[in-house]
Amino acid sequence: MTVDLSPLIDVDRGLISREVFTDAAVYEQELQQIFARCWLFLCHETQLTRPGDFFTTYMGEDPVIVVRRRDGTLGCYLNSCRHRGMRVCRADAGNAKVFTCTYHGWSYDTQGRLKNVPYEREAYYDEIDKSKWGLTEVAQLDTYKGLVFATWDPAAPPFQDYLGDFRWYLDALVDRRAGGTEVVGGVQRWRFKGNWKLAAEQFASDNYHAPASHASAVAALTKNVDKEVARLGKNDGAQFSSDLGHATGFSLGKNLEHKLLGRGFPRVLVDYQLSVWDEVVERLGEQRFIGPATSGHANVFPNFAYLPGFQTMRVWHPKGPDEMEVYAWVLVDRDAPQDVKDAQRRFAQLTFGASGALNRTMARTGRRSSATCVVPSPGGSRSTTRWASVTNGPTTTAIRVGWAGTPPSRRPGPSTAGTAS
Amino acid sequence: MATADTCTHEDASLAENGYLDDGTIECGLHLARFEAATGKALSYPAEVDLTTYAVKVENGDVFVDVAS
Ligand code: FES
Ligand code: FES
Ligand SMILES: [Fe+2]
Repeated sequence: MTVDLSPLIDVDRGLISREVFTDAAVYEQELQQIFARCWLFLCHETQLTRPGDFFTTYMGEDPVIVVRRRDGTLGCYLNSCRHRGMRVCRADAGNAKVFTCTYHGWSYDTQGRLKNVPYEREAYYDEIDKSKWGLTEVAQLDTYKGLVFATWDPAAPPFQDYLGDFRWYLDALVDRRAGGTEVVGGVQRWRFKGNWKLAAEQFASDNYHAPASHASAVAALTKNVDKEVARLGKNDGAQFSSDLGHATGFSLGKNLEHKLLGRGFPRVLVDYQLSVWDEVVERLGEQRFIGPATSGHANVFPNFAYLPGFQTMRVWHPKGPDEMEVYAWVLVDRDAPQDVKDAQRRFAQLTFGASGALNRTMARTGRRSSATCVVPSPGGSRSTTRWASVTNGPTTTAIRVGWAGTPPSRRPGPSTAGTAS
Repeated sequence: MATADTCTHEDASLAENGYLDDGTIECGLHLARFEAATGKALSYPAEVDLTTYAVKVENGDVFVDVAS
């Protein structure tokens, strides 16, 4: 059954029913219509360098294995045995020649083919056609400048068409230097209460929260406290969103050094950015360097997000309507010196790691805003909207953050921009 | 000394799916272990030893006697 979303969303007035963040039927529909169809981020290519290297993650709620196959290509399979559905791989990452299910011992090779069925004669009278019982493979897989994406939908447009105009912004993250990027320090995972869209929308460009949410963290990270905290709300910036829902916001400003120091970046990272000025400007242009290559936030629809400068990338894995699991990576320029990579990793953990100062303010806020959505109703339903319709109270929460206006200055790049506060 | 490549538990190539570590061959499918030097089955689920073949080296070439 399809949930009709039109009564829940009023685009003209910028109102959204809280039900879209809490309702189980809406959530089920998202799994089918969004997560089973969109291109989803899997991992970074540098996690899988040798044949047999694998990484396990999720596409929506479906567990998957991403593996470097013997021929050097990447494969991605549903991590579910074709026999009785157990996971065939129970490790987070590693290297394997075969994936053997621990339930009855069926084995699959890195191409996903079923290689061996124990007691094949006794159990199946040698009549099982093993070629028909390989692991379920994604419909399409593509890499973009080191980032690996896949979709279950054979009819999905090619990845670069899906990315569309947003590519111009994504390049500011992954195409800064000739050597490209790599991930360092493994993958951090944590769970928190809140609907996955609260996080996705925030990274799709909620600049508005920073002065209130991050004031204490910025005060802890910078020297010039009053000035920098006050400046949080006054940066010149821009936002962009594309028709398919990819979006970003970032600050502009002229002086990169001041901007980074004001956000609490350690000297070694500021010096690094200044030292690669010529190369990055040559590749991206000055405005992209000062803007979306070193500041802001972005969310590639539906659930892949990153923060330029802080260099954290993450996926919001949905875990039911009211919970998500975050997988977070730290991304660095591969050509950067080792001390810069180390500093970047430490700074990413300090700010946006599982217990990072800025991340905690976000996690707390996400939990609370979702919690406000689950007011118990008289009938025991968790939906505020249904409860409100009984009492004739307000049924909606305004989620739009500010109003679109004229961009502060003409800037290159695809634009539907409004001003960022 | 050479051993057969096929695991004695099920039908799996040890070269393709196994590991040679510290004189022990371990099958990647269900973790049967064999002593590399003698082919002796060391652990469940292998119950049968690997067949072994005599090897000789002449002028740097390695010959395996598959008839033995
Ligand atoms: S469920 Fe995997 S072998 Fe039976
Ligand atoms: S096939 Fe070698 S242990 Fe099972
Ligand atoms: Fe049992």
